[in-house]
Amino acid sequence: MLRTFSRQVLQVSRAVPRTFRPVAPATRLFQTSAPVFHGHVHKPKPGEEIKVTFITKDGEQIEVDTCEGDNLLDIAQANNLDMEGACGGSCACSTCHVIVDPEYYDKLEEPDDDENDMLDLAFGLTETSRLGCQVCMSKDLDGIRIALPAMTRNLQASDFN
Amino acid sequence: MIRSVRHLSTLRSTPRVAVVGAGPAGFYTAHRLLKLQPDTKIDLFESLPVPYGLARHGVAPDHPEVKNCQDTFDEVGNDPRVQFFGNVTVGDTLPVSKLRDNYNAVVLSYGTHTDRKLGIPGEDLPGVISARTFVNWYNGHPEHESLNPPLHKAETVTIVGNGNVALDIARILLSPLDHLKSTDITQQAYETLKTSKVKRVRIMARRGLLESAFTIKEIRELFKLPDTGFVAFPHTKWDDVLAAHKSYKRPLSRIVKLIEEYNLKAKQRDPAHASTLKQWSLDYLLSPKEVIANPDDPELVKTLIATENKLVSADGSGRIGVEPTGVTESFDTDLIFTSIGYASTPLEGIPFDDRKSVIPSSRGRVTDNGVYAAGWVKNGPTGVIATTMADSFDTAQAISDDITAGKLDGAKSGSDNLTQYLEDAISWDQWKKLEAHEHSQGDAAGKPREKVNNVAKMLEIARQ
Repeated sequence: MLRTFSRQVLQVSRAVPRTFRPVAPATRLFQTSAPVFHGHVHKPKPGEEIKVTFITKDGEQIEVDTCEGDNLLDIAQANNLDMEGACGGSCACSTCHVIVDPEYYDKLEEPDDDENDMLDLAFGLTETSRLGCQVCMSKDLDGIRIALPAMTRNLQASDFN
Repeated sequence: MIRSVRHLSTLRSTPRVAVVGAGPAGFYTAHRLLKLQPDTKIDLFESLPVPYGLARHGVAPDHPEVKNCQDTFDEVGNDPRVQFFGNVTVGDTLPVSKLRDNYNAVVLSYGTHTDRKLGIPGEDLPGVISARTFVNWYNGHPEHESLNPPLHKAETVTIVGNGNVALDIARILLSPLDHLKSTDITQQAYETLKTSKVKRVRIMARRGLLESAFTIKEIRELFKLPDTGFVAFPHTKWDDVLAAHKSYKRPLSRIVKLIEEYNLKAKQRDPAHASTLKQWSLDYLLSPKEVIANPDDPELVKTLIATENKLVSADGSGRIGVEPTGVTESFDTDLIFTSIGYASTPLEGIPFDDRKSVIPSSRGRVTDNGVYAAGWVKNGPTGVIATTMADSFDTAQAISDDITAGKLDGAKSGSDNLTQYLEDAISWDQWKKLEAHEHSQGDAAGKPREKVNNVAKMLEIARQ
C-alpha cells in the first residue's frame, strides 16, 4: 500500500512541468512532494562527498564530487557534460540514457515500469542502462563509474549514400 | 600555434544560418549549432505566428512532461544570437532563393504538412478524418480551428494505423474528462469531447502485432485507462504471436508481455462488468478496402470494408510485408480516423524524393553549397522527440564541420537584407506577449495555458 502510494506521488510530481504553475487544488496538494530543481545540484559537506566518475563518449574520465540525493542528469549538466534532458528530468524521454558500471548496477533501486518503457527507446540499450534523471546519489554509490553513450543514433549505411 | 588559429577565425565573417520551421528539429539544430559554432547568428523562420511545431500542436495535451523540451527551445529563442520571424512562410511570402542568397547555410526543418492517403473509395467522405487534422484541432492549430468532429453522434470509431498518434487519438477519445480538464487541450475541443458518445474504438493495422508501430508507454496508458476495457484477442491469433515472441529483443518482448497480461485480464473479466465499460481493441492484418457512406447522416459513415492480410517476407530484406488473402470483412463504424503517416511537401528549387516524400540528404547535407535538412522532412514522419533531437544534432554537426572546413565562407547579411519580406513578421518578444496571454487565460480556467487557435487573433494579441 505504502509503495503504491509513493509511486503515485512520484508520478504526479513528475508530471508537474518545470515552470510550475499551481492550478487545481488537487495538484497543489502534491506541490509539497519533491519538486524538480533541474540543473541545480547541492554542494556536498566536507567529508560527505560521493565520488562519481563520468566516462565521456571520447573516453575521457571526469571525477566529480556529488551530494546525496542529487541525480545524475543534474550532476552532469552542472558539470557541463554532454547530457541532454529533453523532458526536464521527468522520465518522459530517453535523452539522459547512461550506462552504469556493472559492479554498481545492483546497488541501485530497480528501474520502474515508466523508466524501463523509456529505456526501451534509448539508442544502444545495454544490460546496465539507466536514465540519469532517475539515479539519485547515495553513500553506497561512492566511486560509481558512469559511461555517457554517444547521443546520436548509430550510423547507418544509408548515411553514406 | 593555437593562438594563430584563433586569430584566423576572428578574421572570418560571422556565419549566418537560416532555419526554416521552428519545431523541435529547427530548435535542436540551432541549439547544437550555437554550442559547436558560438560565432553563428541564426534566423528562425516559422509560417505560424507561434513556435514549437509539433511540441505544441502534436504532443498530446495529457503528456505535459514531453513538452518540457520547450524550455530548451526558449533558451534558443532568448539567445541574443537568434532571431525569430513568425508568420513568415518560406516558399510563399519569402522565396527560398532569397535565403540561399543571403545566408551561408539554410536548414530546412519544416516537417510535414499533409497526410498519406489510403487510396480507397469513400476516403474523402466527411466521416473520414485524418489523424493530423484531429490532433491539430484538439491542440489548437489554427488551420483546423473549425473541424468540429461529430463525436456527439458517434458510438463506434475506427482508427486506421497503430502508431503513437493513433494511440493518442484513442486515449483522448476514451479518457475520463477529468484527465483532460486541467491540460492545455483547447476549451473548444474539451466542450466537444464532453458531448462525445464514443463507446468503442477499434485500432486497425495492416500488419501483425509484432510489427506494431506504437511504443510501450502509449499502449500501457491505454490499458490503464479507468472504466475502459481492452477486448481480448480471439484464441487463434494470440497463439500465433506467443509462438514466436520469446526470441525478440527487449522492447518488443516487453510489449508482448504487457499485452499478454492485459489480454488475460480481458478474458477473465465478468461479462456483466465488461458491458459497462468503454471498449477498445487491437485489430491486426486488415487493410481498408472501401468506406461506405451513411445514407441517414452525411457527417458519419456506415461501414468500413477491409481485406484480411497474411504476413510475408518476400523481398529478402527481412522487412515483414503483407499479402491480401482475398477474404473481406465488414466493420460497422460511425467515424474513421486515418493515421497512416504524415507527408512533407517540396519547396521550389530544392531536391525532393516524391516516393518517400522527404528531402534527400547525406547526414543532413542536401547540396554541397549550404542547404541542409533536419527532422521529419529529412527522415520521414517517425520517431519520438529524442529521435528528432539526435538527428538534428547530426545535421548541426555537418553544418559545423562545413563551417570549420571553410566550405561556407563569404560575408552574408542574413535578415538585414530581407526587411521587405519581413514586415508582417512576429518577433520572439511578440510571441512571448501572446504566450503570457495564453498563460493568463489558462490560469483563469485552471490549466497551463489556453491556446489561441486563430491566426488573426494571434497577430492581434502579439502586436498589442
